[in-house]
Amino acid sequence: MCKEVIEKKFHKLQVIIEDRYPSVAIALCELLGRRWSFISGVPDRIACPFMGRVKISDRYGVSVFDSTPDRKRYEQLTNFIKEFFKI
Amino acid sequence: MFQEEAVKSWISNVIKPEQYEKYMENGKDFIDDEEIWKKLRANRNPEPQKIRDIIAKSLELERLEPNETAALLHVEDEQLWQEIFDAAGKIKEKVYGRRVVTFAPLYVSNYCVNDCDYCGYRVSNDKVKRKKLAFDELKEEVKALVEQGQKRLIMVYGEHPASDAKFIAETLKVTYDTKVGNGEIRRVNVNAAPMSVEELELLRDIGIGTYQVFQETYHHETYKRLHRGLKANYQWRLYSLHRAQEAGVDDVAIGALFGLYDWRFEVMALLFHAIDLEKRFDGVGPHTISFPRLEPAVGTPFYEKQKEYLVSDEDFMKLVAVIRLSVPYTGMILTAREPADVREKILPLGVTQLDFGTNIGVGSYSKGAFNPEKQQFLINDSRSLDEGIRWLASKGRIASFCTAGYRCGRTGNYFMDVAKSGKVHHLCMPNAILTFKEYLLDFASAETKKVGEELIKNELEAIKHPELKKTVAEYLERIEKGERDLYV
Repeated sequence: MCKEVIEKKFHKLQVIIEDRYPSVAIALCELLGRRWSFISGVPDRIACPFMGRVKISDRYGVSVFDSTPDRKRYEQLTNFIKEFFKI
Repeated sequence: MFQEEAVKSWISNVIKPEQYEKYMENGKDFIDDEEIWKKLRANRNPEPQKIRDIIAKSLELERLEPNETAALLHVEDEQLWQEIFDAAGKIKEKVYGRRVVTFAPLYVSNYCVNDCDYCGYRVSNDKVKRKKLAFDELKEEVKALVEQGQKRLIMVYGEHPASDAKFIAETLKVTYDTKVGNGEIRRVNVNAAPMSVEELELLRDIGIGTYQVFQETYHHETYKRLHRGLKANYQWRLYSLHRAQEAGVDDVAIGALFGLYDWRFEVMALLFHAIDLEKRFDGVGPHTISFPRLEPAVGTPFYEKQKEYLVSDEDFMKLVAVIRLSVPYTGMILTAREPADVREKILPLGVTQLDFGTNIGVGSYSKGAFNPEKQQFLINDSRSLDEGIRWLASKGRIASFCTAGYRCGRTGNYFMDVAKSGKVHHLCMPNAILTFKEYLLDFASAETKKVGEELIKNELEAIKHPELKKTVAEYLERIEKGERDLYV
């Protein structure tokens, strides 16, 4: 999937997640070695704890932040994100 | 190492004018020497209330305008300076909390094609022993650093075909791949020559941390006088960080070498540099600002001859505090060039990063050697990492080895926006606690462990957000049980 397609899909995912999980923010990142470099997301630029990250292709991934950290919610989200990007 | 013709051929292909000319306006770069002097002259004898208004603006974490910085630079009243110093400390704590990031420099190659008057590495200095680390030697250096407990490095390279972008990229890979037990390097920053966008993309793809290029002096005429050959191109160097951001390296660092020209001018120029980066790149300015002072170096008489612009300790305190107020959310690095007593004075003025356990001889960490003839300059604070950490603890600061942002996507304008809002300390402090705990368990002396555990207890208690506190407490237990690299 090219970057533009991934970005479009990511924005759709953001809308869904904002609605279902109000405490969660996600960031689309570019994978550069060990660096996950921010592309877009986290619209209010909040300082939320990082829960984990989901690789959606060789070059891109989604980082998950949650203002009220919850491991179960993170696991649900991981599965949802993978399903959304059909990984 | 390289035939002269090969070096000349390499030099002739380095600079790509189209890659900096596109950022210039009407053929001029963003440092207008005359405008800087005009602002400095216009803001002499500032009224105390004006200064207090500027301090109040900085405390709200708003970047200053050049006229405001110029006013601060002309304060003469001792009481007002004390207010500026106090504000500098408050600003840093407001943005980053009580944590201080620790790192070590690793000099990889001292071959250089440039001939800068003030530098021990200049090509005409035959008193320096030239050395470039082979990859197996680099691994030994990294192991020695990892065994100290270091997690973050700044790797330094001379400008030479022997240490071109491909070599630098390979050394980053070797460094990231080197582990010893629980120890590893989690973030590698790079201080190197200006590069093209294509070369920077190479480093970006390997996972560079921060890319750092110091302008040395922003004063055009002085710059021209001190530099020859490749480095003589002022704009190629000046726009290095613009090219880095263009290439997708979203953590960049600027600095000036204080002692080459008037310190007030350089502070103003650093601000103009930050402003231009923010303007061009959606509010993303420098991740850090550095302010090394000129130091003696082997075979380098420049230091002895150039006294006019040397910066006194008193003026050094002032310039650091003014930079802090001018760009309230940017990291600030104070290196072991400075002796312990100076670092003691400067620490409360808003510094966010310090190095300890420093050895800047190429290949010296693994041998535990002191080799001034392989060093760019002399360092003056020889405290070990453990000693440095214990000293920081005695000052109520917690050492941090955090590399969370770099690994979870909190970079570029996400990081900048959170830093500017004053909220990043909510994450910086927990990550400091977690990485500090790792250090205490894996590397600390008994004395440091005792002081450190007390500090962790206090800082954990100070976390206001109950869910976050719970997460950090849980992560601390997991670290006690052997897990590593947990971050929020």
